[in-house]
Amino acid sequence: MFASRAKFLPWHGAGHQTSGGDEPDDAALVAAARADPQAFAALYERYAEAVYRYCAFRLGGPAPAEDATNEIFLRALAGLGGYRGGKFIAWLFQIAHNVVVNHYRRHRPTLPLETLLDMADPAPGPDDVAVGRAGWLAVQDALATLPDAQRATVELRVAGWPDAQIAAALGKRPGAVKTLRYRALQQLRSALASEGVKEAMHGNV
Amino acid sequence: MATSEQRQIELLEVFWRRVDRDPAAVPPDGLDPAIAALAQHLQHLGHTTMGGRWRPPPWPPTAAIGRVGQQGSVAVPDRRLPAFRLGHLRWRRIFPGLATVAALTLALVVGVAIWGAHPQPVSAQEILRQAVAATAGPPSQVHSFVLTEARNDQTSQGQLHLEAKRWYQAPNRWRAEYSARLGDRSLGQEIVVSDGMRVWDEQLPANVVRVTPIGQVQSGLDAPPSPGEVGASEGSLADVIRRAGACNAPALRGSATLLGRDSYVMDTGATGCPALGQTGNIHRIELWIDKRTFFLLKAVQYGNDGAPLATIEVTSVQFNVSIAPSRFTFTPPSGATIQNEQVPAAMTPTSGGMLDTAFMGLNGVPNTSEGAARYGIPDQSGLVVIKVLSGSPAARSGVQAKDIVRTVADQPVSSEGDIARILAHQQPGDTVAVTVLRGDTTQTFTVTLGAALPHGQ
Repeated sequence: MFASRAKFLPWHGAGHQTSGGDEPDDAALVAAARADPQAFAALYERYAEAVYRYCAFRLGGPAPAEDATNEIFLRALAGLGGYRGGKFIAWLFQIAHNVVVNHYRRHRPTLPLETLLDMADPAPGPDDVAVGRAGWLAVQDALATLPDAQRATVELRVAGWPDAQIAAALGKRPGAVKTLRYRALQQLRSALASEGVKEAMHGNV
Repeated sequence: MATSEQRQIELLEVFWRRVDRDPAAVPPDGLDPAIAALAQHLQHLGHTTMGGRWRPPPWPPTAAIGRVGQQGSVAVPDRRLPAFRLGHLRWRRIFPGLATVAALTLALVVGVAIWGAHPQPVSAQEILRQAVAATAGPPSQVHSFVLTEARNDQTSQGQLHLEAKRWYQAPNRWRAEYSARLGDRSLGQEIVVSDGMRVWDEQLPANVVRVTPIGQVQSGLDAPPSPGEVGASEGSLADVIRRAGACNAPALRGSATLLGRDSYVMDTGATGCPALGQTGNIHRIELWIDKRTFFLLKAVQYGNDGAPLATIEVTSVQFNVSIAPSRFTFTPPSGATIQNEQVPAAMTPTSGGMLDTAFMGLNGVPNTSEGAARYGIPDQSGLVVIKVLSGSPAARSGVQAKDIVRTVADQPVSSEGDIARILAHQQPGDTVAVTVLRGDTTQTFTVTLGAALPHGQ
């Protein structure tokens, strides 16, 4: 059956993952997986953690992220016949994005209570509307105001994807990714500044 | 200007990589401190949500396959909306099981001519398995589509006809127009439009419009009609398929041509298990599955007496066509009641303006079994305070985060909405008693209500 080895992947960065530009490797794995679905495990092991981290940041925690990650790879395996080439990571990222969006549609994102309490700074400081204290929900709201590509450059960076992989996933040059990300932060900053006040209003009684 | 932006970009890159490994890293000189702080904060949120080290479970995640198949929960209906809604999930409630075929139908027609040829399956089970797979995820090659799907159901009151016209422009603009007719009588219409920033949801003839920022859509009724993601997820079809495999002997009956496409005609056979479909009325299902793409073209559900219960089919489809941008704009008709989902009830501007709204300064979540377990309390009522705004009336009264609010003004509460409804009857300057459970003691605080800040200050 499937090899049960679960590769230990480093926490910081995605050191062992190949860059998105490593097309022959991905293409070879895809070809192998098409011939034998069991060979899909190699693609899974290559990208599972990266996909998981993206989902975790967007969905707010390990539990929904694990469900989403499973769904993403199952869809990828099921849809492998329809994958027409191009960067595999771009195709996989598209699936991941759609699964996350689908998840939002079904569930209002709620964090585990512990996480909410941890992130809400129970000792209110003098500047609760400061950008730095914006809770996860406020950050998600603010991210939603960004154009998709800018937003993805932030989310994927937080998820620890190397820039080359982000560039491949989004179909951009690495230089463009950095620029988009910087501009995204600027826009996030103003969205959060007003969001901070909105947070005072929004969901508060 | 460009040069200094370039410098900021480079400094940000360096800093962000550093802060990923060391959350307490100090920003380099020259990097805008506000940008640095934001990057640091985002990474902190990332670490919090990603948890510690995560090792992928071995492939395939068999335990998860069942879970994936059971996703697709129906959102709790919004109490403020009129009872009769025409969105696809409503169809699911009226006609259990139909949402499944709706999802297939939509996925199917988008897939037409987009997906490449498949190796020919060898068995009915394999065909159904491919059909499940085909509903999974939108093909990235699809940039837009326009389609119409129709359902006809025989009911005791005559024929119920539901129609959905959908337009979609990747990535996040769509329009869905639903209409329903029972016999000759119109049952109303619903229009859902996403302009990329907000989702507008209009119900006629009630003339109610609900608007939700696109990052905050909560119910499946606001779902964009992306292929394979309409109504129930493919998980419901997977349930049908698995059940069919377990309880029936699904059979390939032959071939047929529909919409100019060569398709398999499949029959799930008579169910040997109870309640195929939520009401148990559905006895078997006939499916027309496109041979090239394995998407559903048509489905007919039959009842126990052998008569058809419902037919759903795609009547027209075009993909990757240009769509006039006006399709994705929405202007509420004059006189419509607007429900703005971003603003909580207590903060809805009244004739006197925001300053009239009584305000405490709490933010919290309903106490759930998770909270009850954490706090060791037996019942599940109350609102767990997540945050108390500094300097707010609640803060001044002594309420703290992690308190569980049980009553406000002697009325039990378990959500922010409950509190908002109570405060709607108060004025700034009024006092209310707030009882909380803190640890295992109950305490009461007197809150002198303040005024809500004007939006945007």
